[in-house]
Amino acid sequence: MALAIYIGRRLVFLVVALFGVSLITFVVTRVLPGNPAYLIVGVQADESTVEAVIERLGIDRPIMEQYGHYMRQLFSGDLGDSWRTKNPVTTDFAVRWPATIELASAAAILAVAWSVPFGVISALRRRSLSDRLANVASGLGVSIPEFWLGIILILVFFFHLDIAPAPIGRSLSLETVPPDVTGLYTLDSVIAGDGEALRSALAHLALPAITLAITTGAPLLRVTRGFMRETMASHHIRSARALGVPERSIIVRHALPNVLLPVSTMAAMMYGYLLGGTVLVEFVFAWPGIGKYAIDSINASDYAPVLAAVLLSACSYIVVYLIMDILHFIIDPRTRT
Amino acid sequence: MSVAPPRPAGVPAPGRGWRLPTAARPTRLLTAVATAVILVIALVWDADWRALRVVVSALAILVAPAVWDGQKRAVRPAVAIMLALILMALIGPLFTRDPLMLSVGESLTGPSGDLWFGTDQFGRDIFARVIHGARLDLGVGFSAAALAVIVGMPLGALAVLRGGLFDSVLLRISESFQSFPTLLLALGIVAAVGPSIPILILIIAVVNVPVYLRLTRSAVAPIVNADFVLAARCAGQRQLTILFRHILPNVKQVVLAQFSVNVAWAIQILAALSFVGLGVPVPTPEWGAMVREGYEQLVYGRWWVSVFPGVAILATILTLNQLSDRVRHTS
Repeated sequence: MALAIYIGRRLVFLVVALFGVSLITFVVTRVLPGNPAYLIVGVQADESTVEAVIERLGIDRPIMEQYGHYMRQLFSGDLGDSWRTKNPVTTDFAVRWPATIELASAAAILAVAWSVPFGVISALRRRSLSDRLANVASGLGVSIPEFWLGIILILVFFFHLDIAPAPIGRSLSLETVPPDVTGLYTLDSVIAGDGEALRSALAHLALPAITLAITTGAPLLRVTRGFMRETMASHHIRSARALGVPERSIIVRHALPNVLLPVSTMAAMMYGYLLGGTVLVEFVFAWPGIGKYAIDSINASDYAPVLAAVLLSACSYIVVYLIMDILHFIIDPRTRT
Repeated sequence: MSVAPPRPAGVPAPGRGWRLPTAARPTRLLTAVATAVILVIALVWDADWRALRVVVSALAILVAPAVWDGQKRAVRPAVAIMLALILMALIGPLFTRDPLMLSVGESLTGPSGDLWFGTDQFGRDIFARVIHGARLDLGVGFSAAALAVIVGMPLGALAVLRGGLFDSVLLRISESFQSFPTLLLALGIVAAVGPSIPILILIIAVVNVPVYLRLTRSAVAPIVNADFVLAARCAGQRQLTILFRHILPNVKQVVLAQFSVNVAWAIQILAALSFVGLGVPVPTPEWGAMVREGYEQLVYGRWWVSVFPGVAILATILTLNQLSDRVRHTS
């Protein structure tokens, strides 16, 4: 019952947040200076063409009416048409969304896999070698521009060592593309039982995922270490020590549950961020996802896909965050007060 | 996040070291703001104001010992490197070759004793371009972050003071803003209004305002009903006076630690926008744009074109992040 009420409350928040997000994208397109008609037809177009486009977009009508129209479009799932690919934006997205999800998920898994254990260990042994290493790794990881890191990895692993495939997307040839089930090449090739395709998919995924895992894992490492230090210094750990609980069981049964909860929230936020934050890495590795689609569209003055990408990534962030909140409510009794 | 215990405004922080003369203290903030403004103008302005830049650099060198002395030991290395970077941006360009000079005969030569960082595909000196790029990247970074603080900090404090609908509306708006991936939002706005340096500064500032708004809000909330605020209110001071004289001075430490992180972030956004071709116009020396030019040379093994500007970005951001970390840990 409490859960239902909680979910209900969160859903109301969700609606408010989505409303805010749509309002911001609307303001960005319609209210800011610059005429979107010119973005569509180009600056050299003659008067009548421009006017026709203005008429079609309805940007000569009152602002409230435009907003109503925009919201109606959103509710009917219409994100506009791409001028460049001649498809509805939703169709284009359906093709590219799996690529982004695959990259973001792989990066998130790798990031959690290196940063959380490292954070816990470095917090347990202060001023040790691993603590210092963690300092350096997190300091560098939060500071390194991810597009440049991607380039360096390409230079080292593709150009010099020649162990990574060329950075041109998800697959070199059509033969290594598995039959489409989920759109995630790695999952699809497992489903199809195709070892060759799986190897190719993983090889192409490796460098971009590692790039993102390094930059997004670094803040997670810091947070984990901070929480772990705090918990190890807390009263209930002291009590457990005083009672003679063995150190291993203190860490595993008393400290970790307290640390992993907030860390999982951070990890979820990171994942939500990654769903819209793979733009640069997609661009560097020619990864055919939403981010690359957005940039290609901008460079072709094709505006609808850009806005849709912005809107979609904000929405996915909000939804991931909501799911995490609800899971928290189920796991952690303290949130129920 | 811990908040320093409130201290009435005007009472200097405890600590030893060189300080400005007492008479100068009330105007200290003003001086800092004015210096920052001059610095930003000197860095960003396209005109070749050599005299101004030399004067600003001389001022910076004069103030440097005071800045150095005022800092705790752990903060000093980062401060020193930051000052060096700013000086490099200000007067470095006077000593290099022309960063726009084309020289086809020398195109894509590797690093050598004469051309330290080699040349790009148009034969331009990469070392000169990295040094000139510092001016733009640091200038845009500082001014965007400063703009975000100037707007976000008072708004955040005002949200707590006013409370009610004002507070919750502001909070909802900034939450909505923060659910956008920063870079994509910036991309979307740039695509709508078109890139130019003032617009880039404005956009990077806009996407950063919510950070300060929420940070200040959480720092102000615990002290908004402190005795000294109530006393000021009883004395009949106006809300804005209370805000600027009594509340903000008490939270500035927390906010300033965020400031240098934010400059770093602003530089990253600028470099990223330029990298995808939506930042500064083409021949302008900017680190992100230079990495992009080098990216196309990578498959031929010409690593120097993108590696050196990337190192410049990394070094700058690393310094700024370290500065903030250490300020936070020692205060």
